[in-house]
Amino acid sequence: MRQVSKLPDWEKKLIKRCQSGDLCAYDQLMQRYEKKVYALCYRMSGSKDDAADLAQETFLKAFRALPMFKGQASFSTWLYRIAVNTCLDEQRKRKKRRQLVSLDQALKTEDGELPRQFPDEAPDPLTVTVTRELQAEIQALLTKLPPAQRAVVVMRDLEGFSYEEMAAVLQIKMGTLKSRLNRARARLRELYRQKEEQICVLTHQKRKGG
Amino acid sequence: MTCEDVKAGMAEYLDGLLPVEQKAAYEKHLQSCAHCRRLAVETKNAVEWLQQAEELVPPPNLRSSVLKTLQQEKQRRRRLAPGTVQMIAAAAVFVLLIIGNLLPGSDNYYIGTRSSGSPAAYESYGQEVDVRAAAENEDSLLKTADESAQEGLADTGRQNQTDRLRPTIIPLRTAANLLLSTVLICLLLLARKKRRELLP
Repeated sequence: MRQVSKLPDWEKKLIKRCQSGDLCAYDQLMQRYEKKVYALCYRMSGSKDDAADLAQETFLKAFRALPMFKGQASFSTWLYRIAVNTCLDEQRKRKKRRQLVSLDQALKTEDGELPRQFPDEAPDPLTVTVTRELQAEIQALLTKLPPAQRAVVVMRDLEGFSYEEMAAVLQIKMGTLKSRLNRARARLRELYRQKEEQICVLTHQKRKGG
Repeated sequence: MTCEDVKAGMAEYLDGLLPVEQKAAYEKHLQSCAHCRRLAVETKNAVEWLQQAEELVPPPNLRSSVLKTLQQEKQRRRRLAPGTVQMIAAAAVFVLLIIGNLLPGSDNYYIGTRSSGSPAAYESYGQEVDVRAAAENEDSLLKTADESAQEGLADTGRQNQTDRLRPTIIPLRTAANLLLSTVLICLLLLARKKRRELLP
């Protein structure tokens, strides 16, 4: 098991510069963490635009809160906590909004936003379609998980966080984390099975019809 | 080891985090329990399927847009608290509004209402012109002219224009009042908006 890393010297210096308002130093700090922060935001929100907004908000909040950062935890843990909380808050807000305005639901279904997530990069259109479909399916399945469960699955299975790191980020006990991860993966397993079964049914119907 | 234990230890088992002895007991149960075995395999498959998720690249302008916002905040803080400029402007407009209405010239308003309507107004206007004419002839009487102007006349220095200007002078003051009040309200609203923007 990996220990939650203590603050290395270079990072301490960088943070000190940031705390005194040095934006160049903050740029370096962001550069180090933007990939993971963005990935977390993307997997939690399921859309490129939202992920960019959430990641930006995370870094803004972090900079404003840096004077309060005393180095009790590692900086990365602290930053990821801000990211995860920002994402969870957004989910909560959305849920409220969706409950208030039911018209919104039809416009902003989680499935409806998926097609525009993946950029055209590969030249072969067939490969593009296949990868795109798979990526869209993966994200769609993730989005079906309750946000708190989604967070642990994303952190562990996609971003490779250690259990200790996750517990520290989420500020929960190890036992709670383990049971949440178990529940999340069990839910994932069920969703995956449902998806597979659906595909079976579809191909079966096709065969029957053809 | 029971099926419940197996469920509870599934994550650690799949992540290879169980201590050696526990892992042995876990696998022993899996060998004997088809149900738990299936759960373990299916969970593993689902996680592995999920792990095909592509690596994500943050947008190239992520950091620059964060820095831009922070730079703006920094400058704003260096200057004044948000809304201060608007509040000062609002105060200035308010003072202007008060002064404008307290000045002796504010009596214009009454003359205007009279002159614009009743014949009495014209009558008094005629008297006024007489007094002014006298004032022009004798400098010593200028003070009286001023006093009479304060009682209800327009600027004594421009009698000839007064007649032409009268209909516009009165609406001017009212218009100025209206305009200043509007500006005042706008400034106050703007100041409030600026302050609110800062709140997270």
